[in-house]
Amino acid sequence: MSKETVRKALIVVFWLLLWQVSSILVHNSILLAGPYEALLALIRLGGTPDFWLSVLFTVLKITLGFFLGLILAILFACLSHKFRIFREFINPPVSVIKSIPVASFVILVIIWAGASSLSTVISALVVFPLIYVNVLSGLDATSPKMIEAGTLFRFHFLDKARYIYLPSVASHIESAILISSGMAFKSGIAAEVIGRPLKSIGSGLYLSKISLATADLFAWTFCAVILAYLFEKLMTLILKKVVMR
Amino acid sequence: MKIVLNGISKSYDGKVVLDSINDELVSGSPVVIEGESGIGKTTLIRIIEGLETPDKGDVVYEGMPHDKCRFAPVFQETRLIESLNAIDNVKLANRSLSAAKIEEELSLLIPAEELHKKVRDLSGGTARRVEIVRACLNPSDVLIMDEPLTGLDDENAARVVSYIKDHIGERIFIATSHSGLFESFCEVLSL
Repeated sequence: MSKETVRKALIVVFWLLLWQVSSILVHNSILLAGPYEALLALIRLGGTPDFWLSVLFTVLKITLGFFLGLILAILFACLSHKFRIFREFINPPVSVIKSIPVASFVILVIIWAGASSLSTVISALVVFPLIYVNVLSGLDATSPKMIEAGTLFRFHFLDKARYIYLPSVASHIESAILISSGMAFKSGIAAEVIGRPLKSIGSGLYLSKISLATADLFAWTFCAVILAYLFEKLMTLILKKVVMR
Repeated sequence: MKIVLNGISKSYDGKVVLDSINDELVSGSPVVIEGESGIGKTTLIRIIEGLETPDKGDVVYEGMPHDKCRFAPVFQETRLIESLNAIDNVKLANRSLSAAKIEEELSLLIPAEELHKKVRDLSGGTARRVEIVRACLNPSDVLIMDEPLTGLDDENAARVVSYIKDHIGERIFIATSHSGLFESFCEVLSL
């Protein structure tokens, strides 16, 4: 094991110990459950099928929303790059989506579509403006000289996209995807807490709140953090394989 | 096929770059544009390619509409896909060519060991020769080159000019150049 790994592990152990000592000092598991209690809660929850179904449905819905937002954002950015009128037409709704609080959208989606598709719609709405703006910036920054070359040589549409536009878009889209993948999970789960769809991490968090089960709350939170981390890593891997080739 | 330049004029910030240029570019009659730096050679090339519009006058493409006219350009500066090698760059501009044919053509101007290197790892002169092969092998109506001999030593410049001459075929050919090498087979248009 390298010195770097040991140092990082010791730092994590330090914070876990501080947390454990704090919980012992507070001596009230409702106010502050310790890491040991949280671990026991996670093991207990992990032994129930409902836990795994909640994780599965949340992951599926948020992933669906993420890719929905991603695909729409790329499509709309391409159209905005190509047609000035489309860009001007789409700017107001994009600005609105960016500035309206997620909670307002959550309530609107519950009213319009119900709670079952809530996290999908919310994660798509969170991802869309971020990816849209970054892809459009990348497209706008594409070398006009290379576009001229591709046009005069009549490059195939896919060759133009891959060899002229993608190198410019790649650097912009990489950071946007990584940031938005974390945001999709955070906002999707936050939406679930408000809308409480059946079998979801958000409902688990809400139940922890009303039953004052802080250890469960930490266990669900740990689960959400790990899922967001894994999703981000998966996106990084896909980006490296597909976009950065 | 014929391209007719009718009184082409162009100014930038009040400075006249091209003043009423009239000429005809005909397939089978290659033309080299000569003149000092900054006199408007590149501007005229870009106007013919349709990349810029003249302030006055027009370009008439006789025999076909402009949007159907196929140009095979060599630009003033390198415009290759840097992440690809020489063969793939040529292939991108003509998908119907086999890799073997492209390799054979490139080998006429470029050492074999350079063919599979990414363009970003090639010298300026080698990249220039790749661009020339790419343009020559592109199925087109007009072979149009802006300072194609930039960055080439005398020996390579002579080989490149000979290669271009062999590949013009029935196309309209127009080039800008400071070198006198094109004068042996091109009509000179002085700006």
